[in-house]
Amino acid sequence: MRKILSYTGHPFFDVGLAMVTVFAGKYDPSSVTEADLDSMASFIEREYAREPLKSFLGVAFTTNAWFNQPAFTKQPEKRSDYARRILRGYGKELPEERCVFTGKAATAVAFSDKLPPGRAYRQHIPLLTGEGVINFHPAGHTGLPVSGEAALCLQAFPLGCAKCGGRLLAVHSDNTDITYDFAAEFFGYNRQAMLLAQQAGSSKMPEAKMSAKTLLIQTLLNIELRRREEALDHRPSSVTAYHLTNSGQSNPLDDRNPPLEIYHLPIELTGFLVQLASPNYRAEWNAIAERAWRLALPGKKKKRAADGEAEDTRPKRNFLFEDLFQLPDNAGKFIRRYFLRVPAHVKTEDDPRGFYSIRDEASLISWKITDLFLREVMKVDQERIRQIRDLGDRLAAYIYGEDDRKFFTAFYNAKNYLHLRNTLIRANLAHVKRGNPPLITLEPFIEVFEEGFEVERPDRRLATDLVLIRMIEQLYNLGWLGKNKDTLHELKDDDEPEKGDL
Amino acid sequence: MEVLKIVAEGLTTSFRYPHFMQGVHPTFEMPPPATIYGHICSALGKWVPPEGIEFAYHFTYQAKFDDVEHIHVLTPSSGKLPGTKFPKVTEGSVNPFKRTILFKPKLTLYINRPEWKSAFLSPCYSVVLGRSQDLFTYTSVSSVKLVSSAGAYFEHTLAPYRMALQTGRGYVVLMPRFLDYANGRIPFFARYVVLHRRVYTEELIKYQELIGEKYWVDPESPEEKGAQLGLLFHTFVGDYDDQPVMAGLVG
Repeated sequence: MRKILSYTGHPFFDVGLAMVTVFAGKYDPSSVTEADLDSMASFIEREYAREPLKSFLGVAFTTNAWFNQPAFTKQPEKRSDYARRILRGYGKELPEERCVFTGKAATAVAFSDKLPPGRAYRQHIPLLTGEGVINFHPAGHTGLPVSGEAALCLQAFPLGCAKCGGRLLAVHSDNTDITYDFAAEFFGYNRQAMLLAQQAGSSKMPEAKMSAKTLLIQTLLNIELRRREEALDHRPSSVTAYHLTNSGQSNPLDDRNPPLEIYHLPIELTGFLVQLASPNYRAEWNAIAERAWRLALPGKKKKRAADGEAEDTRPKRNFLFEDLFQLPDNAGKFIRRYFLRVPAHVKTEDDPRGFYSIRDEASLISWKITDLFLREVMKVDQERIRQIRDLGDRLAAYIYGEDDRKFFTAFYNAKNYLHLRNTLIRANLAHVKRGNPPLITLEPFIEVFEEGFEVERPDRRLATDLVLIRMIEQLYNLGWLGKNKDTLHELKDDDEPEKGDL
Repeated sequence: MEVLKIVAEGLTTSFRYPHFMQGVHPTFEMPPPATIYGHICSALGKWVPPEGIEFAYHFTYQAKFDDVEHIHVLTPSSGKLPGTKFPKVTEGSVNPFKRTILFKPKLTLYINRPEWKSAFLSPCYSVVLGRSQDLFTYTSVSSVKLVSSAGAYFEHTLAPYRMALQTGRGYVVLMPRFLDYANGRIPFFARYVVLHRRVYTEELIKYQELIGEKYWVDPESPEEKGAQLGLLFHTFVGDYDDQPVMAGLVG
């Protein structure tokens, strides 16, 4: 059998090819046959010319651009002719030019009577320039040369995307299995939505019920869970999402709805998420994630109900998922917020992070998840993690053994480094005076908190938070925290270093 | 191995994703190999054969922000310019585009052509990196003898795609590897790993065939944990350990 297609690394083409492969009920694009391409072309020809995809496709290919344009409604022959040109150009090569995606000969077919053969424009490939525009093309040669197979894959591309916030969400990875799984997931939803809309006589494809970043993480976690259950290979790979619209109505200066946003999930993040799907971490992670969904405000609910609108109470935005995209740069803040449960100064009432509480959510403080985060996302070396954990253990054992509320409160509330250092030294001396071995020796102390003698490490605040995480977890498990809840005053959201700190 | 080491600094730069043309122009966070090739040729003043050239780099910037550009979107035209007998060649309209810019970029470029030192000391064309208005200055041009070492660190650089399995960090991106100027600027693409954060060779995931691998390091770079800056060399044409790539192989 002749191998027709393979992944190229270009997000639009690859998502389109994954879509064609999904539609053919296959997994390997190299096993896609011409009959499979014909089958995909027939589906597109039928469905793109009618609702709800007809309206939806303005997002991907502009409106009034090609065979689905309203002017052809009364000209079925012309519509069929244009559909044939765009969807079935494979096998009709133009040897002079090479497809920019596949490297094969471009198609000899012109996509309309006005266009040169094999050249694609904004109405065929999202975010290109329109017909005749010479900017960004060599020697004034407008458009891009494409093969017939590539043209079909690019037409199939939106079916493998989620409709999200009026735009398409395309998810691509250098791991082609992940690209395929996202396309399959989104197509499953799109096909169901399309059938429901047709049955209801609606011209609108429903929107995904989540924001783009939340949907991306939620889908990726589901995919990784399934892949784990199927014992599939998990090789390191990154994920990049493209949230785009090609609509002529989009305004590039609209910050709230730009034509294109690119989100990267680097390898360290996907490695972390893959691990979270394992039974070893799932329960703890789900408990943390559950408390990060945007809250539904009763006032707004009532207003909608009064307007007679059907109320959708499902949460759309998960702040934890969205903040993953700030990593690994914002790792310290992320740990403080989600693993240590320090509440945030929030702008809106529906942001659950404003209600985070160390006192009331100590059960969510998990060293296991923090340890995984340190290893996978921050790549902290094992020895340093061990030292921090051991220090947390020793301090927790000391507090529990001596019932030293004063020390716990002082350590917990220590605002600057000198305060923290003095607190530890005082406790150490008191411990030794009682005839015990030192609570903390010089070396581990320096390793965890200092860069040189009496010079604090640049990440000292992070180290303190990590020791606290381990300490609180241990004290919670020992039951000490439950009996001494009054010792815990909420830490402040002090993102900005205070005077004298750091 | 003796190489040419060039330090170039500028105020702004931007490396547009080639297939995102309409409305917004996001930027790669590292200069694509094709950009480096154009930069070298600009200094030399001619299109040099790409075969055999190897380069590595360290690239940083201070911040990333969006700028609004007015772009004249042009189409071919005919007729005469109004009130004249001059032929009208193009016409168009001014459109606002949003372009992502890298602020205060700094490139340390290593090329396996120490004999080109004089060209970089006296570059033929204006020194730019990115757009034509992104002026750069060479703050240092020198030759350096690289050292082979099993211990190195890599940071703020582009790693070959095969290293995605080893680095455990960074993200993969498809970049223009080479534009064939002799053939209508046909583009060839390849995948690379954008590596911002430092990774030491001892942290690399070791595969059997890679055990004992050595890397070129810059002996003039800062030493951290007993290691110095490692250099990952790339080529513009010829074999590349990454299939599939867009538009096939070149070379």
